[in-house]
Amino acid sequence: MLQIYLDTLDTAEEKDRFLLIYEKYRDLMFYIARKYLSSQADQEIAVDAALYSIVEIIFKINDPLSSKTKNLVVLITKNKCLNFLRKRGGTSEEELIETSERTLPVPAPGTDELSDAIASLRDPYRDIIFLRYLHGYSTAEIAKILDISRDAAIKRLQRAKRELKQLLEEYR
Amino acid sequence: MKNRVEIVSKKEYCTKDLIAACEAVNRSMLDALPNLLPAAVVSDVFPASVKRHHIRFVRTQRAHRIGRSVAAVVLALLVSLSAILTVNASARDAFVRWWKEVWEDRIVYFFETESVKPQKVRYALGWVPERFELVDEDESDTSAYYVYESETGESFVFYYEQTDPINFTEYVPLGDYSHETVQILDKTADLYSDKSIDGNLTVIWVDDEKHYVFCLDAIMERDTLLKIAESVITK
Repeated sequence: MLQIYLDTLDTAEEKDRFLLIYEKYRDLMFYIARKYLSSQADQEIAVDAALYSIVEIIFKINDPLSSKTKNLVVLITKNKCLNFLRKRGGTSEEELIETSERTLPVPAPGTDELSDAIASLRDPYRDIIFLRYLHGYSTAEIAKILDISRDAAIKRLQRAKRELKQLLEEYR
Repeated sequence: MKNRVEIVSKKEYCTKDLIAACEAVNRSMLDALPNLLPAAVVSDVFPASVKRHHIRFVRTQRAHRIGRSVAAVVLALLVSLSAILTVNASARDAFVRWWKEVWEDRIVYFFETESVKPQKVRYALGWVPERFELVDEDESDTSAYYVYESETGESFVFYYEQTDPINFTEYVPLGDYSHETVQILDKTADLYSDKSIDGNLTVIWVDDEKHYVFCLDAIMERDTLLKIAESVITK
């Protein structure tokens, strides 16, 4: 299956970059998928979707082995799993968010109030803050990564900043 | 990324602060993951349900390849073409093309060009109905959005992006929608009406010369939306 992804990439550099990510993080992606999805077939579909997303943005990933890239892999895989559950139905959005927060908790760094506030954000809001500020993606790129409309990405980012502001107000 | 000052709380944080905080949270998140992971077990059979995803992905990559191959040609031909492009407007037009494809759940705008990306431009709305105020904005190197809200809870979004053959812009309706072609000053635009949200209109238009795509999305009267669209000015 690896060859399918490599065949869609044009340059040797992009193929090498993707190969590094695939070899380094494939086990991690399946680890995450197993946390959300019980059947192996579902896990493979979600990880496959995540790998396609990575192929689409490979030209923007400068260092395949950096902690930033690892963050991106975790975030994309998690969101593909949630999208899969969403499309399958039977679970409310609130339940999906709670599942996600239980499954992959993010401890507060304890270094400063801004970091702790970001760690305390609800999953969808923290993810979009990561994509915007840690990775520097535009709202159009974020929309493609999360498989949502651009308007939804803009609104979610706006709400994320609003919630972050409220959390910081509570710290005072 | 511009180092804008954003008032996130009583203390002012700048983009650099947010980036540093995200890095700290990311370290904390990754540290919480196990170091040793079980090896992934993957079946040999390519899941049939992935096929549809693969088809859409291949179409996306086709658009990317068009852009990349064109970009490679540009480098080779740029010097010889520059004289032609300077004096012949129709020749210049031939090297910039937008087209759209209607996919099953969205309308995708693709962009193809054989010219060098022009200088970045910043835009703003020259006219906004009095009841609205700017509540959120965000700018990156190639795009920006502005969110306006009224006291009664109405809101609209103005978004623009300098695009290139690598990226593409999508309109994703939530349900059934209708489409008509309208004029925004001298530009032909697409006006979509999302029937699943009463009164939700989205107008999309492009600027061939500067390679920008513009989008206004709102729940408001059609004429008001078009008047806002026609007021777009450069900063």
